[in-house]
Formats: sequence, structure tokens, C-alpha cells
Amino acid sequence: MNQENDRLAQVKRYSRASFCVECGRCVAVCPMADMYADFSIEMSPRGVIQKVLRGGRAILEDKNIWYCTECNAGTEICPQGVSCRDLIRGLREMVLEEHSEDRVSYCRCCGKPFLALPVENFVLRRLEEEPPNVRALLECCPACRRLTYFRRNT
Amino acid sequence: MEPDPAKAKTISPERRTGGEGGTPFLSLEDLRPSPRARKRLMDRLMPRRHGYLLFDPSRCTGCGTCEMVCGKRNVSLVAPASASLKVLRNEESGKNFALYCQHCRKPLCLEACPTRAIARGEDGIVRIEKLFCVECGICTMACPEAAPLRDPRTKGIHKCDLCEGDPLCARHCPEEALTYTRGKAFRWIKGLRWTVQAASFLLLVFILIGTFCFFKAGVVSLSCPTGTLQNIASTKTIVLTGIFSALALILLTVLAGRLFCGWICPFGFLLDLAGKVIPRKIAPPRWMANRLNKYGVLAGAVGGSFALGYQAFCTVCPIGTLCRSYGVQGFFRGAELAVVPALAALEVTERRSWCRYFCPVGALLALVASLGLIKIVIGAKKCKKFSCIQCAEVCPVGIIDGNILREGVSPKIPMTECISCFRCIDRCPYGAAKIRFRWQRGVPGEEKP
Amino acid sequence: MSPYKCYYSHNVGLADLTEKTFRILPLSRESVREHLGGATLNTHLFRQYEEKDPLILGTGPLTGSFAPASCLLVATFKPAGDSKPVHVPLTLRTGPEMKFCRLDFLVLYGRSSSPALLKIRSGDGNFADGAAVHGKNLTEAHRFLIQAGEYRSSLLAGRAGGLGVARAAAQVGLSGSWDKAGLALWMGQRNLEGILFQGTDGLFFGEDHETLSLELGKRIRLKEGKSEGFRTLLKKTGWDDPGREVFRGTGQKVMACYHCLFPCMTWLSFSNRHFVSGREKTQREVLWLTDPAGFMALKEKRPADILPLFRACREFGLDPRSVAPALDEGNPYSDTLVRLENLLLENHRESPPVQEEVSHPFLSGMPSPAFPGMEEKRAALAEKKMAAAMVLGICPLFLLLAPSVDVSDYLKFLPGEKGAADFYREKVENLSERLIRENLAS
Repeated sequence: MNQENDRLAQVKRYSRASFCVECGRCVAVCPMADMYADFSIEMSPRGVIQKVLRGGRAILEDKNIWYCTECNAGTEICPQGVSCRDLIRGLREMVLEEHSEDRVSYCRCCGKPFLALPVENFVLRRLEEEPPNVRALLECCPACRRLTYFRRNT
Repeated sequence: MEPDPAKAKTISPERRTGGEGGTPFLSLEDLRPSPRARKRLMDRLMPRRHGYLLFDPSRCTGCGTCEMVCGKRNVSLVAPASASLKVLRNEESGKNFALYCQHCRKPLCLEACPTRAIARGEDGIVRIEKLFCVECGICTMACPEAAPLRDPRTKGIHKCDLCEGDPLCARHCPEEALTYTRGKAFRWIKGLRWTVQAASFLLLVFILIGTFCFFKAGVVSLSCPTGTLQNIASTKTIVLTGIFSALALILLTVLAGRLFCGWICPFGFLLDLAGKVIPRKIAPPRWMANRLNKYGVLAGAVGGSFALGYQAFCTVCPIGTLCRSYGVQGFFRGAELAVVPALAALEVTERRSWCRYFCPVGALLALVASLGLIKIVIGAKKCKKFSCIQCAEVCPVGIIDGNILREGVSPKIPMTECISCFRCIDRCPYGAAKIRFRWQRGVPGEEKP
Repeated sequence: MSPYKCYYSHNVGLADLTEKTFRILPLSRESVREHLGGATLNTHLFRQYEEKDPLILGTGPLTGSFAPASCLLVATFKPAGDSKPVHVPLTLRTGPEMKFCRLDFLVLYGRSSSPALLKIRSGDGNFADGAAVHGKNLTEAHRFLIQAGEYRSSLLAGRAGGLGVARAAAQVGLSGSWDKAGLALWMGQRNLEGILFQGTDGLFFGEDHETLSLELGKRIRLKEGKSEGFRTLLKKTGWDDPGREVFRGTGQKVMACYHCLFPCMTWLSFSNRHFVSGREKTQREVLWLTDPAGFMALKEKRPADILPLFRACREFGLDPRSVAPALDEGNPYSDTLVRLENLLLENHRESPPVQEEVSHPFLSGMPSPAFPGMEEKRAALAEKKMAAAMVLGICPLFLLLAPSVDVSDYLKFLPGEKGAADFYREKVENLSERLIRENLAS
């Protein structure tokens, strides 16, 4: 238990989460606002950072850490140098190490997790008019897709 | 002057696409309207051609020069890891592959980009607008071949933009495995075909009246094979000269498939023109959309001729009607002439739907074409496009299965249905669609050495 | 910008196999000014760390640049039982990948207690457990490494090297290497199973490099024509054509190293009629043809099954040329295969040392410029060119195969203001002469 708390503390330190001043710039540039109809403060970078700073390990059970696309726009604009991407990534890695997560999409070919499920659903929803064999490809990780293409065309 | 808040536009939430983006402020739709604009008529009739970056895996030696120059263009350093192009090598199988954006005609990355940073230009190039790109990487997740690449150093997204029309990789490739072309020069098929169709129309409709059905000049005579069959059935006698006259068209079909349907038939010409103007709006009903129907019509025509004692179908045949429409009793033939526009109106369901489902002349030629000498092959390995599939789109009789082509399987083209218009061969920029003799095995890209 | 800063990151990696540490030291401008790079700077570094008996892997100033065939990585070390260091040129993509890891030179010394792999990423290196690769045939080891993680270039000691057999040859990817000097043995004796490179950085370049590269490409295409890979290599280096019989029924593909405009390697797939696994059956197998001396040595001994034998040597990590004398001519293939496997059990103390006269002192297994049919004067000139290539970081074989390209063409790629050109010309001239002198063929 202690080890895990240390790990959480390490993630917090590495992402400089405690430097957050809640200015909200990260929320303004976050693409999640355009992706999800139910975009709320809970899943916004600011919201996640604050939850991490206030709560303890409860954040790991929270579904709101799976909406982020890890684009890094928030990190780039933050005046305090807080990296929301590193924080989200660290939290996600912690969760995935403990158990297989159903909020993550696993590659059909190699089985590795490659995309958070809400983001994957967003992509599939935008592409719902595509034929099923193309959509099946979208359920593989990028590396496997490239290899499939490679094998198909040589 | 101060902006008047009362006059500010109120944006209704329904205007947003897909119901996404919950903020009540100016939405993406206002700032950057969806690039899915409707094509103008002129663009549909005469689409502008653009260049294609072709890759030939059999020539690639895996030297990686393309990656090098591409990386240099992206980050001004010699850095293959930062290229928009990825060279995949398999040392065991000895295969090398250059993976890059194919500039799909219906790009998936464009649909998925949450900030609408991706747009397809008039020049056919799909670009990421750096101003709007937040480098989220969703374009990579949406692309079936994951072509946008993440730079491991700067963490940005690089996607091929064809170097704005002069790709460096094609210029530097030492084996010419990567080439930039404007498609094949083969487009002359289109010009030739329209000319022949127009000339045939002129000849058969205006100059030589009623002659598709039967034409005699001295000793030579040519006649419609279906008409000949009906003649035999109705008169119950076989006239050898009649059979020989019909043989001309039969012979043509054995040599070149249903070339008549694609290049000579005046009604076909009319249907092609109508199809350009009439948009496809209705799906054909199930009972109609059966390709075997035309054999039924053929059987009915012959049977009917036998029973009725005169050539039953020839009276209502649109081809014949069209041929006989001009002249002394031309356009004023009345109700009989109505069959031509009536059947042409079928174009609102599918192109050449008459030819696919009803034409008995086509049916007879189809039977002959099953013994034909040539076939059209499409090599899926050379095709390799998820979203090009232009052959399937342009085929007027819809016999190319685009879905299995996307899977990488070469579709089998039924020559009984093919009207030998060669639009697929003309269109394919990659040289994947070709004419072959029936006994030749192998398809382009998969020929055995 | 300093003239030497352009293509070097000025980093020397120091890897201690005993302590399993890796650190980076700066490369001094003086060393570069004095020795430029490649084999000569390697020698300088070797002398610096001589008491540790190191292996120096070094790039040249032009490695990884727009210069054609700029793929070279030079390995300098002292083989067991020798008094002088030798150089082995390593091609494919090893050199540029090391540069993309922000390393110009790598110094390895010490001895690991257990099989280890050295993984080099951008600016950093770490040791991983190499037990999974130890004792494995090349294809298996390769497959394992690809699955385990992404890397862009590999240098493996191979099965024979890992077992400490004197006839071993190091393997770059699946394509073998020019090692006939005992690099694999050196690595194996110190339990270094292999070195993997995964680089993401970039190098600076001069403004006109792109155009220069294109021009050279055009010139080569004009003067030398198209390369047919291995067979062109054989033809141009004085070997007789092996005959159509050897290549009947094979699928071939020409393969190239980094930015090489005249490739000399061929990937080959053939039917192994002699494949034995309980009973005779035919199996389709693949191999990379890259070593003319080894290939022809084996072919002379056993022309009937040259392809499966060559592949077996590659799989086991053995040098075909030193293996050929140990084989019998008339035996069936299965016996020969057993003989090869037995060779793997030879301890380096018992087997004959790698003969010096069959391996060039600074070109190792590469075709020597003095091959039968080559006049002496031209051979001397070619040797000088190849020595210059070893200094500049260019594949020496390229300069041998494409004689229309001269060292002066390459000097254009070096950075610097006016007047630097003369300096470079003299420098390269001196250094190549020095290289030849110091490593005079016996």
C-alpha cells in the first residue's frame, strides 16, 4: 500500500501537479470539449488535477481519467508547467498494471492496450458510415494496422 | 463602435454536428464549417485530375532514402524517425514497404479530427492545418493504415502533404520505387469511347435509319441477334443468311466482351448521358435488381414471338425505337416513342439499370460473352487503397466489389455482366486494372516470375 | 557554426560490461581535428583505453548524412592472440542509428558475468538480460528481439560468437557482416550477446547536400548502370560468375544499406532439397547474400549445396570462409550439417586462430581492392579510396563498386568555410595513408 502511495506521489511530482493555480487555460484548449457532448469539469484537465491533489487513490477508480486523448495541448499552454498528459498517463499506467481495464481498448491483433475507450468510441462514432471491414481495422493498434497493410500489399 | 449584444447571433445546439461539444458559445461549425461540401455539377461531369504518389514494392531495396529526405523536410534535420513516411522492413521475407498517407478521396482522418484541422484541397491533397492541430493523434487512430506518424522527439504529428505537389521522396528514390504521376496517360479510352458512342448514335439513329435491327448493303447484312432469334421463333424458319448476319455482333462479343453495350448501342449512349444528369435517388426494388431478369425477358421475347407469330419484343425495344425514331415518321411516332424516356428514367435507381436487369440483347450477348476471349482483372496488391476504389465507383454496371478490394482480395469480374466500357482500366491510377486473355493466370502485382 | 559541430554530437559513450554502467563523455574538438573520425579516431580512442582491452565502435563525420552510402560503423578491437588492433566495417544501418542516438563513438570494456544485451537509445544506454538470445540461431534470436521491443538496428555476436568459437562472425540484422577478424568472438568472450540501437534524433546538414546527393545518384546511374545486387558485387570484385545452376529456382530481391545508391546485397529464397528433419523433404528457406569471399570459399568445397550450407553458417553465426577448410567434399549434406554443429562446440583455445592473410587488416571480410584481374596501380588507388572511406564513415565497398565516385565528391559534403576544403583534402589524404601504413597487410 505504501509502495503504491509512493508511486502516486511520484506521478504527482513528475507532472508538477501541485503547481496548478486553477487558471483554466488547459480547459480552454482541451479538444475534449469538441469531442464529448457530456464534457464536464470532472474530466477536464483542471478537474483531474484537482481531484488528484485532494483525494488519494480514489482517482484510480474514477472513470474520468479515461477521456483524455493525451494530446498535450494543456501542458503546452500551462503557465506553471503542469503536465496534464504525464499525470493522466501515469495514472492510467498504474491502473493497467494492477488489472486489465475495461475502459481501455485492446488491440485485436497483439492484445496490447492502445487507446482509452471513450476516445475509441468517439472515433468509431465519427466513422460509423464506413464499411465493417474498415471498422474492424480500427480496433487494432496502429502498429498492427501498419503491419496488416504491409502484408497485404507486398 | 461597440458590438450590440442584442444583435449577437444565438447558436442553437442542434446546429452542431453529431451533438458533440456542449458549450453554448461559438461552436466549431461557426468557426470552421464542415469541409464536406457538395460537389458542383461541373466537378461531377469533368473532375479535375491530380497526381498520385505510387509505390512499387518490387523495386524497393529498403535503403531508407525517402525517410531521410522526408524527415529533413519536416524538421530540417536528417532524421528518418521524424518523417511522414515509414519504411517497414521484414528481413526474413525480404519485403520492404513505404507507408504514407494515401490522400483518400473520403479521408477518415478528416471525419475524426476533433478540431477539424484536416481538409482535402482541390488539388487532391489532404492536409493538416497546423493552426488547428492540437496533436492529439486521433487522426492516426482513425486512419486504417495509421499513416499520420508521431515524431518521437517533438511528439508532433507528421502526415504526408505530397510536398505541395513535388514529393521529395519520389525525386530521391534511387530505384524509382516511389513515383509521382498524374495517373496513367491511358485516359484516351474515355475520349475514344465517347467519340465512338456519339458516332454510332449519329449513324444508327440519324443517318442509317432502323439499321441496328437489320442492315443490308449489297451482299453484306448485319442484324441484331435477339431480333434474329425472335424472327426464327415467330416465323419458325431458319434463314441461314439471317444467322450469318447476326454472327457479326456475336463475333465481336467473343473477341471483346459486351463491347456493343459499352461502345456502340445508341440507347446505351443515351443512358450514359442521362446518368450524368439524373442523380441516383431511389434504391431499386428487390424484384427488379436481379441480374437474371434479363434472361427472363429474353426468354419471354423468344417465347412471345413463337406464340404471337411476330417479333414481340422488337416492337417495344428501346434500341430499335430509338433507331427508328428519326425520319419521316420520326419524332412523331407517338406513344411508342415514350418507351425510350421511360426506360431512361430508370437511371434514377442505378446507372445502366436497363442494361443490368432487363435488356434481352444484352442478355444474349452475355451468354456469348461467357465464352469470350478477354477478361478484366484487378490486382488488389497494386490497388492497395482503402478509399480509392474508383473502379468500383465508376463501373456503370456495378460489378466490382469494392469491399473485398479493401480487404486486399482481387475481385473476380464477371464478363457476362461487364459491358467492356473500360472505365475501370481508364481510371485506375495505379495500373491495377488490366485486360487479360482468359487463359492468362495471375493479376497485376501478383504475377508469378 | 564550428565546422565540426555539424555532423557530430560530440558524445562518446562509455559502457562498462562488468559494472553494467553507461555514461557519456564529451568528444574533444582537438581529437576530431586531428583524427577526423572513423578508423583513425577509433585507433586514437583505442590507445586511450588500451589497458582495458576495449572495443571501439565509431562513426565518421559523414555517417548518416546525405552522402551516398553513408552507413558505416567501424569496430576497432584487438583480436585474441594479436598484438595490433584491427578494424571491421559494419554496414546496413548501424552507423546512422548510433548517430541518431546522439552518440558518435562507443567504448566497451570489461566482462559481463552473464549474457547481456546493450540497448542504446537517444543519449542513453542500458544493459538488459541476454539469456534469451544466447545460443539461439540467428532467425530465432532476431524474431525474439523484434517481439521484445522496437529497435532499428542490431549487432549480434551470434550463436557461435556467444559460445566462444573462433570461427564466429558477427551478424548485423539477418545480413551477416564483414567480420572475419573475430569481432563475434571478442563479444562472446565477454558475454556481450549484442548491441541494439534505437535512435530518434537528427543530424544537421549543409544546404546543398540534397542536390549533391541527387547529382551523384544520376552520375552513378549513368556510369555504372543498375545494380543486380550480389551478382554485380561478384562480377565487379573479380570473382567468376557462380553459374546459373546455383540460382535456378530462387526468388531474389536486391537490398540496400542506408542511402546506398548501388546496392550489393541480395535476399534470396530457395528450395532446400536437403532439409532433414527425420525424413527428406523440401523446404523453402531464405538467406541474405552478402559475403563474396565466404560464399565462394564454400562453393568451391561443396558446389551442390552451397545455398543451404551458406544459410546454415549464417544461422549458426559462423564465418563461411574459415569453415570451408573444415568441411569434406563428398559427404552427404546431413553429415556436413552435423559437422557444422560440431564446429560450434570448438573452444577457442583448440581451434585454429582466424588466419590473418584471408582477412584484410582494416577492411576485414570486404573484397580486397587487390583482386585478381585488377592492375597494381589501380589497386593501390582503390585501397586509398577505401581507406579514406573508412575515415569518413562511408561504406568502402561503395567506392570500389562505383569507381566514378571519387573521394573529392565526398569532401564536398564536409562542412566549413572556404579554405576548409584544402584542409580536408590534405587531412583525409594523410589519414588514409596513415591507416594503410599502420595496418600493412602482412
